[in-house]
Amino acid sequence: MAQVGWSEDLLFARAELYRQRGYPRDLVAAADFYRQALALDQRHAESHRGLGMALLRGGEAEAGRAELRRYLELAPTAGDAAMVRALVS
Amino acid sequence: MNRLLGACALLLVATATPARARNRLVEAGRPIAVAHDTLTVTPDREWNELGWRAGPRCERWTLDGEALNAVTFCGAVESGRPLFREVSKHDQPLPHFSTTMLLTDVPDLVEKSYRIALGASLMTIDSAEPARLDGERAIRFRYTFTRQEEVERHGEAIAAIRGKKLYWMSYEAPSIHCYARDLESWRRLAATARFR
Repeated sequence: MAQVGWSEDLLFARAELYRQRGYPRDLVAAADFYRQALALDQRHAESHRGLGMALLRGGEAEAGRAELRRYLELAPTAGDAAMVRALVS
Repeated sequence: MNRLLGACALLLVATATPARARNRLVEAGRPIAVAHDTLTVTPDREWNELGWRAGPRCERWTLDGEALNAVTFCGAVESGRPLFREVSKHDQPLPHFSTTMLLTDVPDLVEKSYRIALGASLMTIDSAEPARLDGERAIRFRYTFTRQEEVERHGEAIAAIRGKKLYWMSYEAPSIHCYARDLESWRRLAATARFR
């Protein structure tokens, strides 16, 4: 797939694969792909969620919580909103 | 209502397997060790423990047939270990629990495990919320899945990470009638769970 063909949804999907495998280097790669997705669409709520989770797991707690708060702003009624609120509180 | 009960009965007959020697009655009213002796629960009604186990640290109970309702307990799953027994480690390895996981990662772990171990081709995590398991921070999540050529099932699970190990319990039943019928029995049972 050509580099120019990466949409925010494809970058998000790629990031999810890395995050869910979850080795330390995967979390770094996942964060990078989430950021690339957000560069294309800053309102991509799921990318804010994934980036927040990846940063939290990687030990960047404050930056992770900031991304999760942005996720909650964009998707306040998401199915996991209550659980994510507990993570950021 | 009778038609729904009849449908459930037919489902039970259609999916029933021969009784296995290790199935046993679980009596009400006293604490029972489950999940490889890592948890206790105190049932307020009789349950049946099934001989078949999804993984070395798991066990499964039912009220009146695994096809109609099933509760799974898995305890002290260590980092680097899957939830269930591998079905095809080379071609489709199961995802592993990791101590770096957040509670919010557990539903993803369960979903991916179900897709491989149970052949759940359709599965969605419907909701997730904070909960407590014996005072420990936990996550309660609800999901829907369908195994190949089977009815749609709903599930509710509660999971906690304690001492770098994963503990989780789930209840599953066909979404038509059966799930709602036994949901409160499961919740009463889950509320009695204690770490050993």
